[in-house]
Order: sequence, then structure tokens, then C-alpha cells
Amino acid sequence: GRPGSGWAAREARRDRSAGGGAPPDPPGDMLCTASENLPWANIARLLLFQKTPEIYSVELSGTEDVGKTDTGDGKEKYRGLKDKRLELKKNHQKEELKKEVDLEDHKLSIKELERKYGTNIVTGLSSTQAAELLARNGPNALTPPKETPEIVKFPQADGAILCWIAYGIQYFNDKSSSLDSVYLGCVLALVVILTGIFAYYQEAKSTNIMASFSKMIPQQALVIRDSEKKTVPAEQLVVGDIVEIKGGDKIPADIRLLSTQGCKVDNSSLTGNLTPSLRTHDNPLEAENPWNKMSTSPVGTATGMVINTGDRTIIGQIASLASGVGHEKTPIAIEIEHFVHIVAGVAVSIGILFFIIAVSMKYYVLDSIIFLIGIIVANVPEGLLATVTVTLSLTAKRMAKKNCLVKNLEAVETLGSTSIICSDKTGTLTQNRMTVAHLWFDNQIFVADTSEDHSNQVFDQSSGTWASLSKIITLCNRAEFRPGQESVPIMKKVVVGDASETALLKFSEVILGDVMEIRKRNRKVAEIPFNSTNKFQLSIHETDDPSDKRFLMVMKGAPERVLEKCSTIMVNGQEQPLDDSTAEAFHTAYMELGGLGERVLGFCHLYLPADKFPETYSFDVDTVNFPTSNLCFVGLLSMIDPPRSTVPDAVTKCRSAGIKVIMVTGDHPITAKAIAKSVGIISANSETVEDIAKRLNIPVEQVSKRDAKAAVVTGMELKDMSPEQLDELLTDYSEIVFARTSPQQKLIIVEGCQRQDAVVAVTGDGVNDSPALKKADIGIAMGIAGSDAAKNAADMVLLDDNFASIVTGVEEGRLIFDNLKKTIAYTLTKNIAELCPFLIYIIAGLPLPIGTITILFIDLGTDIIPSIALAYEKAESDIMNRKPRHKKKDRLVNAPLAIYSYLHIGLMQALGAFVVYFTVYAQEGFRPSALINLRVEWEKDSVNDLEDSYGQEWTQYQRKYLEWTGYTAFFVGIMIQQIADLIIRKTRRNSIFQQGLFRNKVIWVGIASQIIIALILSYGLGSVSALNFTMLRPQYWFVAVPHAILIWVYDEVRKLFIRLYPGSWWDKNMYY
Amino acid sequence: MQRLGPSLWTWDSSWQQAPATSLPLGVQKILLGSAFTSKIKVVLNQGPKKEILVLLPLGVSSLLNLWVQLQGCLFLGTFPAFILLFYLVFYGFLTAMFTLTMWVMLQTVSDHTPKYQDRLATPGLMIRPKTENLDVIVNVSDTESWDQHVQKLNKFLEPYNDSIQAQKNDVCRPGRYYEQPDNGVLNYPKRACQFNRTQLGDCSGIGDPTHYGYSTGQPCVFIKMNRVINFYAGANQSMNVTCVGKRDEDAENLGSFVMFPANGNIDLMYFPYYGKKFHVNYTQPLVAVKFLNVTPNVEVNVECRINAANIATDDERDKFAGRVAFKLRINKT
Repeated sequence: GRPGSGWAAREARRDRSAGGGAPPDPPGDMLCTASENLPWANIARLLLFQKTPEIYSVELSGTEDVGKTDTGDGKEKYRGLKDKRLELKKNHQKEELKKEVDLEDHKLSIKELERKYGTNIVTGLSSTQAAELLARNGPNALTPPKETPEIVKFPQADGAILCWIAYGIQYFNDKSSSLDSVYLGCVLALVVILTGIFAYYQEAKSTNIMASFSKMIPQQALVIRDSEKKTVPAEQLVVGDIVEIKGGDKIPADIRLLSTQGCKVDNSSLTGNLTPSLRTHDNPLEAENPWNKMSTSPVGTATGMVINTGDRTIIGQIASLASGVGHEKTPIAIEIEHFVHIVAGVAVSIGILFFIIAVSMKYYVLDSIIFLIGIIVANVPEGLLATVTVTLSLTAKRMAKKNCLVKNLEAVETLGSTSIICSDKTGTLTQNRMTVAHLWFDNQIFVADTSEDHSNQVFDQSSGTWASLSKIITLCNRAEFRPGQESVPIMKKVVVGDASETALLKFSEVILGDVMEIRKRNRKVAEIPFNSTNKFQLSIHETDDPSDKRFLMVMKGAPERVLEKCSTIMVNGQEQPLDDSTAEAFHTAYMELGGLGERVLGFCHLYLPADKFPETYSFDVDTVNFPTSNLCFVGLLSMIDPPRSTVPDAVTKCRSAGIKVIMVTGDHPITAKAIAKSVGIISANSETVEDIAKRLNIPVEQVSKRDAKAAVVTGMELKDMSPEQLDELLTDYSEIVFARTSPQQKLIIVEGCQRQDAVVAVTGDGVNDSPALKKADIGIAMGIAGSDAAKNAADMVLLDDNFASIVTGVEEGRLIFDNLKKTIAYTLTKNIAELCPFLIYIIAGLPLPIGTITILFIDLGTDIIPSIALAYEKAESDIMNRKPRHKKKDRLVNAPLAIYSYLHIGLMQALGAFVVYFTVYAQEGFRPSALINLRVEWEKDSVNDLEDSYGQEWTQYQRKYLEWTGYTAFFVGIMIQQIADLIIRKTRRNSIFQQGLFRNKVIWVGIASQIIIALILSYGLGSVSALNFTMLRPQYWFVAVPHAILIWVYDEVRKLFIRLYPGSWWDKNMYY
Repeated sequence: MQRLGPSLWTWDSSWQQAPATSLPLGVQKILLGSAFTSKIKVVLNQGPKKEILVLLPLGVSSLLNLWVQLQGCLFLGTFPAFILLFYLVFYGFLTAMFTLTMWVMLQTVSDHTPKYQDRLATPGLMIRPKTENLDVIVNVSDTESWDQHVQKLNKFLEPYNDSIQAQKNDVCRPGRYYEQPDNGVLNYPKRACQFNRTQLGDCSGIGDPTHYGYSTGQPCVFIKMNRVINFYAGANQSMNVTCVGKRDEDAENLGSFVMFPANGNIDLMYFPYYGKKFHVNYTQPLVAVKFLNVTPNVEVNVECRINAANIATDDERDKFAGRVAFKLRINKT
């Protein structure tokens, strides 16, 4: 049985009964968590609330949830590590699933079925009946995972409104106060709403990509209704419909088979088994009848009655269970939360500190509150949400081009921090088709080309044995190309037949040319198909030599069975008696090929003497009126599902990137190990315990486990392991292959890896993989082989099912982390330059150097495009040679980043901007010395004759205008230095000149946008008084340039020392 | 980083003789090439991973010694003193840089005249006594309510005393600008014209028992025009200050007033102003307005503006450009 799906089922039902499953937590709550930690953070909350990017508001909501996890009810429980309990539960749940799934149908007779479902197997349902049922039971489709209602996606509005009210109160308290605060409130509200819309739009866009993708392949079903065969969309199937299935079709719903013609079904997506299996089992999942939705039928045709549709199918049930498995918070969400904590901490503590200073300096409390708000606004990177969203979706787009479809934007980064990849074998690491790998004839093993196009077959084809062997391969084969594929390359042609026969057909087609033509010339007169008791397949043909009237009997099958039937063996085209030495050679070859994990077939033939079997002889396969012994053995041929050619390289890349690749497969351990070796998951020079034992010729128990680097663990062994043993296994061995595992064990493996603090990526295609996909930090579903359930559960879909695409994804994920770091560093830097003016204003009493609205114009105007431009930055050279980042140690925003941005570059920027500010004031008449402690007089409306350094007198409005000019100057000062900041942030380690100053064109677009926006603000909108911009004299634009150059030079020096002294004090403190 | 005291440096003191010396520091290894070549090779070896070759254009062995010391610091600077030192040097450097740029900037600014005066094209008007909200409120019976105004005015008018004026300033010819061009050589301090307190007549406060009229409910308000360097007010034509009630009812309540000097005239000889540094004893011309019969217990909005050819008084945004508005209230019981 498949106990796992059973307990998953129960788990989800428990969730449901416990109150609607896991309700989606209201987004936006993350910030509550943040501010609950800081009880005095009310105002910070107001302002930061709007910062809460909806996409980052993740599961954990405040103390409530913590409590939930602590009490351990619900979904956490299934992780229950106690062995016995798990065991107990499993058994229990297996029964429950049986009860739950009403699958008695396969035991009913057809008559009973017809009665039960009110249908007729010949005429089918009537259209009206069908329509009725469709209306009652809903379409035959899986309910997509619950979407957050759109209204919930704008929770930030609350924050904005609160914020506005605060400003409103301030305005009504003091009516004479300028309208600035109200404008600011409006702008903030606008910002909040716009970023909310923007984030929503981005998210919706990426969801649309996914939606369009799933619509790409509309499924059709051939159904009998009103006594007619009709093609209807699979969605419209209802219970009781009679459907016909052809080879290669997906079974559209759970059906009960009524009749079949040589039809086998591949239930791998349900059970994880990879080969089509004829199943006889009590368990409905394993029983031969009925068939389940989503299974594919590779051969034959069948008729069946639909007994379950939509979510009520077994698939549907499992899929809905998958959503019961809790999804961990994505690493990037954690990082962003951490970042918000830091920013909030800095903002609020500086704010409070200066509030106290201001109050103790005898400022009015109301003024002090305004200072507080100003300081917080200066500290909050308003534009970051938009930037992060754009960065993520840009990368998602880029990855989609490389066949990685990202469903959940945050998953982009998760892939980058992956430290363990649990990969499927079939289809992901391999090409997912049997291919001839080796041949053995003339006492020699030949290697066949297994690359994707088979183009390069180099083995010796001159031998007479090969001529005979090729004939057997061609003739003793029932597989055929589907007609109408003349223009398709051979390897891509669709074949009707099972995997081995397909492999042989394509192999012979590549080498010999038109196989169908050869078969036509050698007309088949009789055939015994393969069955599991005989273990061979036999056919008798006329020869294509008109002078040779003999019949040719060809046979293929399990090598030992085939050999039994032979008395001679063909060597170099000559028949020789089969003696012990040749039999020995055969066995050696057989063992060797079997040891490579390959499926070996033996081939033999016999020319039936023309005298006994004349042309008119009638062969009867039931009585077997022809000899089936004393044949001539021709050769062996072995097949394997070969690794994709790109995989070994990709695995090597993972290695150097510090990522552990674990293979998890349902296949036989030997095959699994062979593939693992050939792709490098088990490296060439490492051995398993068994290998060492074999080499040293000692029992396995005596081998020191430390000597072995690799391990092959079967599902059976895994079953008996305690979680501690699994942990030990995962830490002790660097190269692990899990074979013969069920998809449920995948979940156990994933949890084991996660206990090691690893970020785990899991690939999967089957429905039963979906709990593991959900549980994994990043679930990767296969786009071609994957079931809808797996795709729904996954965060990412590989469109080409190719492991190498994961590696590309890892690179992109790391790049995005780096680039986000750069973006954040860029964004944080100017915070100091925005903050210092307030501090100086409060302490030294200078006229306010920069207003809050102006700050918003930097945060949301000039800085937006440049910070997005950093997302286009190419990777630094070492990106795939680093260890994966440690979830808990390598933070997005770490101390060096904050210190370097705030205390180094930020401070330099502040100084540079102050120079511009002082220049403007000095050249207008207020020397720096005159500005100190001028604040009170400066701001008094009644003072209209304020004296400057030259004895001139200024009215209030004249001063105000000068103050705005000061704002503009400070703004321009910051903007100019942000250009330098942008350039230095292109790299963290390499010199800008190594990275290429002009390689990222978007950076220059960003710089241009910065300058253009500033020009527009100053010269275009300089007359709009609400914006507080004025026309600045052209020379003031260049005052900060020396400081900008200094920033660049300083950063180059920093990078130089980092490169010179890796691991040094400097490296540790200056590399962010 | 492990804490490695300098004593743990197991480096060879004879490195100068050796062609290459290794300096093992934990997992790292520095290889110093020959010091006697014109270039020093510093090979940095961190485990099996990194090996960086640096070529430094240094040749003096003493400098090299310093260099090695510095390197030691880079590797071993785990103690806070080093961090402190770093920030000391770094911020010292930043301060120096800031000071330098500020100094360069200040070189562009002259001591005597500001570089730009575009903001001061229209001088503002202002009243004395200076009050918090530009309102002159007089409770005739309550001495304290106006005494502070009187004190301020006494202080304000002190430099205008005839004796001081006669001692410091020139008697100029009225009706024309008193220009004192530099003619190539700096010519300062420049002379200023006399504005005698007696010119203010009834509002001069000299021997005035009514305290500028405040004690009788006939207050004097002094109007002055903001100083602007090199501004030729009036464009060579005579100018004067006029006051009106802002609205019709204000005009009624305002009653009659007299102005000193007569007609509210401001003479051209007080212009141009050459700045605090040049024009040391400059005396700003004043116009005093004595309100004779303001309706008591009513707030009266008064607006005074200057009538001069080159001073616009209708700026929408600057309510004090060439004009001044204030409130006047005489409380009588």
C-alpha cells in the first residue's frame, strides 16, 4: 500500500475539522510582529506599516501563531519524530483513506455499475443528464489553490490612513502651521496605495504567467453520449460518462475499466512507480481497476466509466491534502523582515533619542513629534518594496526564458540559497527514455552513443554477427512510429509501444534507416508477444532474400531464458557450438552490463529449414508447431535511461557551489547508483561502504563508515531508520542516493535535510510528491512529466524537466540575493544623508537643510530606477564558487552592510550634501557661522527683517524661498553622490573596472533618469510651491562632485584591500 | 579570526636574507618575496583556496617593515583599539576633506558683498515696536502693557540721538544718492548720512511725557525698510510711505494719523547701503506714524506700503515685499 498518502489525507482532514484548515493569515501582520517587539514603536508602525510589502507578509502572525506551533496541534504534528507514533499513525491512516475513497466500484459488475451511476455502457449518458450532473457536481477539474481575495491585498491602506490622521491632528492643533504636513500625509498615502497596487500588479502578472501556462494544454476526452462518440473538454466529464482511452492519452478522471485491448497504464504520477505496471492489489491505488485520473496510458485502447470527477478523484483528494502541509516562510521573506527590523530599530531609536534631546533642549513637544516623524521618514526606504518586487519579477522573467517558471516570486531567491537538492532521477537527471547503451556480440562489449540525438554510433558494424543482430532487433519488435511524423527527427518521433521496444526501434532506425520498410520486406507470419511467464518474445518472418525460402525465427527476451534455448552462438558471423567457455563469456558480459544498472536483453535466431517449413506452412502460436530450442545466440543488448548530457556539468557546478545533490528515486539501487556515478552525484573516486567491503573482501559490518563518502540507501532501509539515524546519514555522507523510495519517504528525507538547517530544493512530478514539494523550501515540479497537483504544490516549474535548469536557477537566485544586497546598500546609504540634516537642525539650529517632501522625492523619484537597474547587474566572478549562504548566519542585511552604508558612504554623502547647502546659503548672504542657532528667528513668521552676514534684511518669504533652494541644493547634492553610490554598488568585491563600467546599460539609464528627474523637479516644477523645489543655479549641481569622486575612490580602495587580504580584519568588517 | 597576539608571529627575523619568507597566521600564509628587488612580491596564501600576488612599487626596507606591521594589523586587528584608530583616521580624513571643500567654497564668497542678491530684489517693510504677531496692543490704563514697547523703542532709537549722529555721520545733501564708489581701490569704512532723532517730531520720544503717545492712546509706530546692499531705492525719484486701513471698516476705525518726517518721505541720500562691514555706522531711515484717534477697543488692520518707482508692493506670495501689515488695538476703559 501507499501509507503516506493515507496519513497525509488524515492530516488534512484534521486541519479542516480544526476549523477550516490553515486559514491564510492576513497579510500585513508581519509588521505587527515587528512592532510588538518594540512597544514604543507606534509611530514607527504607522510609517512602516505601509512598507509592509504584501508579498512579504508571511505566515507567522504575531504571538497567536507562535502559540499554535507551541501547542503543537495541527500540521506540526505529523512531524512527530517518535517512531512508534508515526508507525501507528501510518497504519491507522491507511485504513482511513480506504474508507474515505469509495472504491468498491472495481468489485461491482457492469450491470451493478450501470444501475449505480444511472448510465448505459453502450449509449452513454444523455446530454441532458450530463449537463445536469455537471451542474450538480461541478467541472472535472482540480480546484486551484485558494487565492487571497484581492481586497486583502491592500492592507497597507490602514497604515496610510492612520498616518494621515496623525498629520490631520497636528494640522488642527496648530492651524497656522504650514500645509506641508498635510501634503506630506497625502504623498505618503499615495505612496502606500501606489506601491500596493504595484506589488499587486506584479504578483498578478506572474500568477497570470502560471495560469496561461496551465491553459496551454487543454485536455480532451472521447466520450459516448447520446449513443454518439463526442470529443468534449475533459473538464466537462461527469460521473457515469463512458470514455474511450487511446494509447498515450491521459486518463481524464477516475474510471472503472469496462474493456481493454492490450492496454497498460502508467500510474507513476500516483504511485511513483516508473514502469507501466499491471497491478493486482487490494489497495485501490494499486489495483488494476479502476484507473485513476492523470495516469497515462502508453499502449492500447480501453473503455471505461467515469466514477469520480474533479476534486473527488483520488488525485484531487491527494492534491487538496498537499495544501495542508505547512509551507515554511521563504528565506527572502525572513531576510526582508530582518531588514525591516533593522531599519525600524535604527529609525525608532534615533527618533526617540532625538525626541528626548529636542524636549530637553526646550523645543515644543509638538515640534519634537514633527522631528520624530521627520527622522523616521528619512530612515524609511519608501521605494524599496517596489524595487524588490520588480527585481524579483525581472529575475522570474529571466528564469522563465531559461525554462524555469517561477510561480512564487520569492522562490527565485530561495533557489539561490539552496544547500541541498533532492532530485528525481527519471526525467530530471535522465532523458526519460530507454536508450541502447551497450551491445555484446563477438565476445566483445560495444558502447552505443546515448547522447540526446544518437548521432555518433561508432561501434564496429562490419561483423556478420551485427548483421544478424540488427535484423533481430528490427524484426522482433512490435513498436511502431505513429504515422505522419516524416519531418520529425527520429529521436523525437512518437512511438506506440513500450519503453524498451521504443529504444530498440529508434536505435535500429538511426543505424539501419527505414525500419518499417525492412519489416515490410520481411513479412511477419507469426508472433508470440512478450509475457511475464515466458519472458521472451518471438516472431517468424519471411526473409527478404527472394532466393532464400527459409523462414527466419527471431527471439528476444531475458538473457538467461534466451540462452537456455540456444545451442549455438554466432561469432564473427559464424555459428559455433555453445560451449562452457562461451557461456562463461556470456555470463561475464551479462553481469557486467547488469552491474551498470542496465536492462539487458538477449537476442537469438533460427533459420527454419525450408524442407520442414515450406512457404505455405501455417504457424500456430498456441500449439507452438515450430521449434523453440537449439537456436543460435547472437548477442546481448543493454538499455538504460541515460543521463541528460548537460547534467554532469550541472552537478559539478552544484558541487563547486557547495550544494549537495541527493538523488531520490524509485528505481533499483544498482541502476540508481550507476546513473549517480555517471552524472557525478557519486564522484568517480568515492566509494560506498559496500564497495569498500567488496574491494577489501571483508563483511560490510567491518568497514569503517568514515572511509565511505557515498551511500546508497534503499527505501526499506530508510523505513527502519530513526530520525536520528537519518540525520547521521545525511551529515556523514556527502554523496547520497536514495533508491526504491516511495514519494512519501521523500517527505521524510526533506524533513531530515531541513533539520540540518539546510535550504532544500525538491524536484518531483507525481501527485504523491506534492506534500514533499510543499514541505521543501522550494518545490520544483516538472513541466512535461509533472502532474497538475505537483505543479500546484511547487514554487517553480521546470519547463524542460532538466536538472541543468535548476543550476541556472540557483545562479539566478544567488544573483538576486547579491543584487538585492546591492540595492539595499544603495538605498540605505542616502538615509544618513537624509537623517543628518534633521539632527543638525535640532542640535545646531540651522535652517532645515532638507524637507520631508524632498526626501520622498529622492526615495520615490530619483532613486527608484537606479535601484531597479542594479537588478540587471551581472554576477561577480565568484558567484558559483561560494558556499550556499547559511540561512541564519548570512543575512541579507548584515552588520558590515549597515555600518558601511550608514557610517562610511552615508556620512560622506551627508558631508557632500552639506557642502552644497552651505554654498547656497553663503553665496546668498548667510555664511555658515551665521546659520548656527538661527532656527528660531528664521522660522518666525513675524520676523520680516532678519539680518544676514552682510547686514541685509530678509522677509519671511524671502527666507522661505532660500530654504527651499537649500532643500533643492541638498537634494541635488545627494543625487549627485547617489550616482557615485550607484556605480560603486555594482560590485561588492571586484573592481568596477573588472566588472565593466558599461556592461550593465540599465545602470546608465538609471543615472540618466536620476539626472533628468532632478532637472525636471528643479527647473520644471521649481515654481510649484507645494513641492518645495526651486530653480538651482547650474554651478550648484557640481559642488558635490568632488565628494562623489571621493566615494568612488574610497570604495575602490575598500575592494582592493578585500581582494588583497581575504579573511583579514578588513575583509570581515568591510565586505557586506 | 583567531586572536593572535604579535608574540605568536612565528616569522623568521632573517627574512631579509631569505629569498622568500613565510608568515603563517592561522590558516593563512603570507609569502614575502625578496626585499631587495625593486618590487616586493607579497604572496598571500589562504589555505588551498586563494593565492594573490601583489606587486608593490616599494624599495626601501624600512618602508617594507612598516608595511609588514600594517599587514599584521590588517590581519590581527581584533582589538577595539584598532577599530577606534581606524574610525579616528577615517573621520579625521572626512573632516579634513569637508573643511577643505568648505574653505574652497568660502573663497568664492566676498567679505563685503554677497555673491547673489536675486532674492532681495524687493526690500521688505517692518514695524517697530517689534512684537510677536505684529500687533500693537495698548491698554492705556495698564502701564505694563505698553511699557515693554516703550523700552524697546528707547533702545531702538538710541543710535538716532542727534549727538551720536553728529559725532559719527555726515550731513548729506538730500534728494540724491550718497554714492561712495571704490574706484579700483577699496574705500572703507564708508560714510553714512545722518538721520537725527529729532526728525521724528512728536514720535522722537525726546522729553515726551506721553511715552511715544502710548500712555495717551495715540501710539507711534515706526516703519523701516529692509536694508539691501547696493540697492538704489526709488530709482532717483522721491519716495514715501503711506498707511491705510486694510478694509473699509478698518479705514473708519483707524481715524487720522500724522507722519514724521512729513508725508512719510524717505530721502534718497540714505541709499545705497554698502553692507555691514563697509557701512559701519549706517543709519536706517525711519518713518514714524502717530495714530491720533483710533477707535478704541477695536482691532484695526493697518497696512503701510512704500511708494517707490522700483519697489513692487503687490507680490502675491511675499506679504511683506514693500509693505507691512499690522494690527493696532487701543483698549480704553
